[in-house]
Amino acid sequence: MQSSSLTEPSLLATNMKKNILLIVRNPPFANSSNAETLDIAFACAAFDLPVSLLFLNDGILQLANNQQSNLLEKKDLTNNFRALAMYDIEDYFVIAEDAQRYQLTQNDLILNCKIINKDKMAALIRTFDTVINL
Amino acid sequence: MNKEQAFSLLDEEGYLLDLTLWSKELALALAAADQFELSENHWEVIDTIREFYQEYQLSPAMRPLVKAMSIKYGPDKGRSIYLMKLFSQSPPKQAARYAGLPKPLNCL
Repeated sequence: MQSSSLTEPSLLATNMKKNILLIVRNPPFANSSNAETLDIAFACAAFDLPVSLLFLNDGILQLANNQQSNLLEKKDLTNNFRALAMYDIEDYFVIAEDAQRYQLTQNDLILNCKIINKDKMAALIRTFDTVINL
Repeated sequence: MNKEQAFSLLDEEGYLLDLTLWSKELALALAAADQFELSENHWEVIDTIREFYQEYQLSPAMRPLVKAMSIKYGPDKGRSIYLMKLFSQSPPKQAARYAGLPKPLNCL
């Protein structure tokens, strides 16, 4: 057996892995969709699938720091979202216009995000094989 | 703590119902019921998993547990093979049970 044929199956497997974009578009505490998106992210990580997240529109508010959920009596997902890096999910995007609208800068966000302009969003989304939008 | 006392605190899958009721004695009783002996190496994992839960509010699956072990104890102990040799069942599940934490989700 040639050595190249030993490496080929693994290369093939890597190339066949679909990269996934999860779009978080709801504000925190609105419903369970952000928690469900997180669940998908963790499940993908268990299968070694490459996952990125785009926090779109009100979704950027999920990343705002200093949330105070005690009055709402709802679970604050901030610490759960911070755990993404421990699952080797570290590719996060926000839209500049959303950040501007809510006057959020990188310092206000719990994750270190790439900030892109809205007119680049379509091109970004097209780079993914699968887009999940809850 | 005897086996009956320990088991009265658990849900049907064997995980602690009230996380505030955890103690080292409980961990020892649960391990004893499994006929499993906890060494210094196991306590390192239990401590790590409890710290992970404190920080992230969730029980880690294998990958994040490995990462947390690696950060705390270095690459030799931050390997899934190390954890699999250490435990008799799925390491994240078994360690979460002894650590008094909820069952880890998305754990293969």
